[in-house]
Amino acid sequence: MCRTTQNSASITTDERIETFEGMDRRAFMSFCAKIAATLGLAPSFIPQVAEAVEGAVRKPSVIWLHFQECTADSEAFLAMNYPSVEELVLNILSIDYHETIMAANGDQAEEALKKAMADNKGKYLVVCEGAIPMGTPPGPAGKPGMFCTVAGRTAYDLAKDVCKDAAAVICVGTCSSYGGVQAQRPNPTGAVSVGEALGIPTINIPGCPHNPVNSVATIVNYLLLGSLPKTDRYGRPLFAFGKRIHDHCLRRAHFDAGQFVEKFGDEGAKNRWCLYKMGCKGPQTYSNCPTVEFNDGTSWPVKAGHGCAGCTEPNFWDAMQPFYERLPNVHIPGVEASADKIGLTLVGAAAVGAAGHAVYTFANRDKFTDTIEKKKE
Amino acid sequence: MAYADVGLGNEGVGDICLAVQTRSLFACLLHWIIFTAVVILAVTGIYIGYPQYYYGRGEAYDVFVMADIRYFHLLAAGALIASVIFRFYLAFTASCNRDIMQFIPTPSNVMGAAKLAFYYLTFRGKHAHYRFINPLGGLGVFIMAALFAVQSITGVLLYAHGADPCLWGWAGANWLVDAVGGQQNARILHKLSMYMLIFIVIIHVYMQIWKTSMFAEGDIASIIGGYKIFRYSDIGHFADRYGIRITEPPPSGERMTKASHAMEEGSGQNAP
Repeated sequence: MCRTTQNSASITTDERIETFEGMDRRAFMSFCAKIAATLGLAPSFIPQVAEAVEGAVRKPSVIWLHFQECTADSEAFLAMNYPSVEELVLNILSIDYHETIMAANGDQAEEALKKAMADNKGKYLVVCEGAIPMGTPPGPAGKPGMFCTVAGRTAYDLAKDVCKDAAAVICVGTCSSYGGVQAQRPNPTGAVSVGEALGIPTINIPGCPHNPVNSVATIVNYLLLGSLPKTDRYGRPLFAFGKRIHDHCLRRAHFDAGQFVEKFGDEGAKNRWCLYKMGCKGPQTYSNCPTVEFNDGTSWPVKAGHGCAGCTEPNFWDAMQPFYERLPNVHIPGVEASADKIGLTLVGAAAVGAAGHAVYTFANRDKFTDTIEKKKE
Repeated sequence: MAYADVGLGNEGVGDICLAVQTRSLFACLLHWIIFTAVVILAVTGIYIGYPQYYYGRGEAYDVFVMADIRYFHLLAAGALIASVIFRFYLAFTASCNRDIMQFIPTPSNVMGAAKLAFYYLTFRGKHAHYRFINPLGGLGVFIMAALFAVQSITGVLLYAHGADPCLWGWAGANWLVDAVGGQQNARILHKLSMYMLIFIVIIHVYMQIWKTSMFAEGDIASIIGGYKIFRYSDIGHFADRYGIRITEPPPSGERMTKASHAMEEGSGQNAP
């Protein structure tokens, strides 16, 4: 039912229409319904979503850039079954440059990039995956940003060049949205988010990896309305990142009941109790994982029995670790201890100090002037 | 204010005791409301941070331990915020309560606190007497009030961030989260402030019990009824500028009555 071609540049208009008509209409409408639901639109919008997706005579050109990343965001995007990757890449969008899946390499790949930028100047969408390093490698040949280079250009130069004529920049994944794992303390390469490196506002769809339903929905929002969705302070679309996981978690009833898993595999775990004590970061994480789930609704971490790691939050590698504790250690210079340790030490010191003071002063009270004992004399 | 010829044991005649009002009854009530609220907040807060299954046995449709405890935590938080704000207001009004200057860490207050602390640890020299709270206590209350502010702000952030912007709109604002350094930082601050408050409460309770048993000046009585006891032999060096000054030796008979009138005139702001 689905055609696969290796090179999008060779597909003709006739072939495109044929593939559309060859696609199962029900599957296509199901896709539109899912996207409409993700965007928070009423069912009456489904025909408009369908119109926007299939009616684009010129599919939007998408240039997908990779920087410091593990490619899981591409993997997630490509693992979507609904629509399948072929439909996404070839029929719904025109992904003109994607280092992982494009057939060309070397000079031809660079040519494809330049051609896509020139043909669609001001109209192409840039999807960024991965953080941009701003640090300078040590050694005499080191220049700023050389920790990541593509085709001889640093990631920063590549991003600057491609993004300047883009209609919008969409950052998928925690790395491009916030800096990601390489930006974790002590951040040896100086990795920063794409928005921070270039100084431009970006749509951020964080997650480690991001949920591809959210990125596809954002692109469809653009197709449908010609603009990008409303975002929060961190540039995250509100339709996906407006609610805390804790507030629409399937195990919330067990949290409110006070029923918690104490150890993986115990009775509580078997009864699917709340993972709060196993370090679940649901109360402080904003995402739509409980509703949309991953891999076409198969599961998500809490449903599978592991606490949320908080991967859509800024600085999550530092703030949300240790994953199995509720809070990270407090970083006071010279002291690295959990808040509990610091607190209990303080309280212990107070108790010991008070006890010592009491013993000392009561034992010696007749020696002191001005006390009641002295006044009796 | 009254004076009484009260002897304490064997010292015979001579040491007149004076009852001085340090706060109104309403301020005492507010103190005890704050105490109850802080105890409830600490106990429920400790459960919220370290929940134990023991209390959650049963079916999830039947048992609401964490939900109930969060409810009481929020209720006590509201009571605390209201009481602290009212006590703060009282500190500016009404002559018997106008002790706001005792709580602000001015240089003279900090020096006084250091001197008192030195005295309580070593008993060297003499210590000053104060009509309202002494500077060491005032500093402690100032720190406590700052910690209450931190707890309230981080607490409301933890409760309402992400909620629809209605009553809690300001708490749902992202700038507040960024100001405290992120969601996890808010939690760390909340926890650390709790421990610091427990630290201060331990010291406060111990100091009051110790002070009242060591000097017999009615400190604990003053938080229940509002009056504490000063000895005439002590208040010659009364340090509090809102307090009472007596510059002559104790007269007897009707001259004593005149002296007590002088103290009445000296109440509130206008110490001679």
